[in-house]
Amino acid sequence: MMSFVVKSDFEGTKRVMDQLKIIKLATSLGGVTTLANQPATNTHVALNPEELAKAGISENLVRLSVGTENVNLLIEDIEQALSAI
Amino acid sequence: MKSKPVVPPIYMSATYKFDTSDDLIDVVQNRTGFIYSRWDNPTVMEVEKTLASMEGYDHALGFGSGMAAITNSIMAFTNQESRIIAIREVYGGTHEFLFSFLPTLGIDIITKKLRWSTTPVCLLIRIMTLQKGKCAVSAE
Repeated sequence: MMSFVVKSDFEGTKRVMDQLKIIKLATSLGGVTTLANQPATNTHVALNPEELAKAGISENLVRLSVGTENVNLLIEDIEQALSAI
Repeated sequence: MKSKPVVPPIYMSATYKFDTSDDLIDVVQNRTGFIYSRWDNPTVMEVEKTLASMEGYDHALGFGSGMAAITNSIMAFTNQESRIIAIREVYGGTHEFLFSFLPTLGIDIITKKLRWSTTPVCLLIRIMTLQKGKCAVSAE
């Protein structure tokens, strides 16, 4: 389980999410499938901007729950998705 | 495909994948699709639809257990102003919830407002007449 911020804004981060192919855009974590989400739009959508800031959740934060796929495929997928910024 | 399965499939997935972030945001904001089975699940929705139509209501809610249904429906209709009247033979889990847990929230189990009953009554199979009203739960 890891998180990272995309060197971009909300829209740029969304583009990265949409570009992922092997990694699925979905809520949840800890399963065998690698899932990514943008907490500000789903898992933490109930928090207002101040609460998000207090929790350290920026709009370009990505949460990644790593599954059991081949690690090189996952790295390649993230690399190609980041090129969408 | 021009047909549907006679037996609705059981969807086991906890989560749902999206093609685009915009689709995900739309589902989170407008419930236009599935995002997480705790909220909506195609199999559970099928059961809810069937139950509602059998009972003559517009909507029904499905839960993972009887106590989940009981806890949710009581919590939805009570606050510290509430008083609950319950039958003697109420299911043990419900009894514990009513008499041990709710008082810790300041809800007394004494007189009226929410009438709580299950039918048939656990173990004794006593049939209670459920009035068609705001909420009826059959959990046992």
